[in-house]
Amino acid sequence: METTPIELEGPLGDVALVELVNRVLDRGVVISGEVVISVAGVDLLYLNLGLLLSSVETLRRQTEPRGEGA
Amino acid sequence: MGYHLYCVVPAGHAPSGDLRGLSGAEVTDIRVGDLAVWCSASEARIVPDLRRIRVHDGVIRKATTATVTPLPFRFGQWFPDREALGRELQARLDGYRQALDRVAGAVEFGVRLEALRERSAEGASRGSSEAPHGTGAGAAYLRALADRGAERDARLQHGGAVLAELNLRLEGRVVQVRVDRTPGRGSVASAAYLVRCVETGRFREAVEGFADGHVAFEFHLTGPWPPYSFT
Repeated sequence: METTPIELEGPLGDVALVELVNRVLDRGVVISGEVVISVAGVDLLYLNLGLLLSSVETLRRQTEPRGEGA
Repeated sequence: MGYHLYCVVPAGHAPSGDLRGLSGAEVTDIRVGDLAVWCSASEARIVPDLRRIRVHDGVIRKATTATVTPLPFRFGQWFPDREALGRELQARLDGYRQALDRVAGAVEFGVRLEALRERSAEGASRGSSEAPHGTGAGAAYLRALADRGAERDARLQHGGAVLAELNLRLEGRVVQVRVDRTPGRGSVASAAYLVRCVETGRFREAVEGFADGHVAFEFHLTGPWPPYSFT
């Protein structure tokens, strides 16, 4: 089996950096949990707030009604 | 010991012994059936930052060769022990096999369109925000706000139409297209393309040629990427 990595994206410009973050945090296989960022010094639990880092696209997909009977 | 996951690959496609992942931990493969997962030891779920995101992506890139396209995991996939990891993977093997077949020999590209605002349009927009005789500043502000919203909607509609035209042009050159319904701030349209490795040169040429004919937009072509958008 060929094991030499092929050359993918080179040095990242601003646009590619945005694309990288978007892809690594928002896409790919998901099998456990979500990425949650808590803010140090703010009592999120007391306020009953959760801060979920996600793209609008993902949230829209997850909150859209599924097909009938789902 | 817990594990941070990077990607799924066919069994036998092992990381090199010197490959390091997050926190400098050695990247190893855990075999499950005919597949394997690249992972590294981590006592707890790792909070992402830009440097860690680059490391995560870098490991997946190392797994991408001329003969293997991995299924990348999104950042944050972590299991507290090997047993829990094995159970979850075992339950999903069929889906992983199908996804690996779909992306085999292919990589991802991204195309993002930004509208180039014409000076005359900007001038007209600024002018419209000035209060006409007899109206208050509040009304002028609201009118300007509405005008900007309408301009934005028009740009999105135009960008979507141009992207659809590009996708028609690319038919036969790509395996799959995923159009973002929310292209993000500053963009008017964006899409991800799954492209066979042997087609990447022709894909680039086709996008660049198309962009040359649409000077009202700036086209940002990025990639190749591991197939994050097609898993």
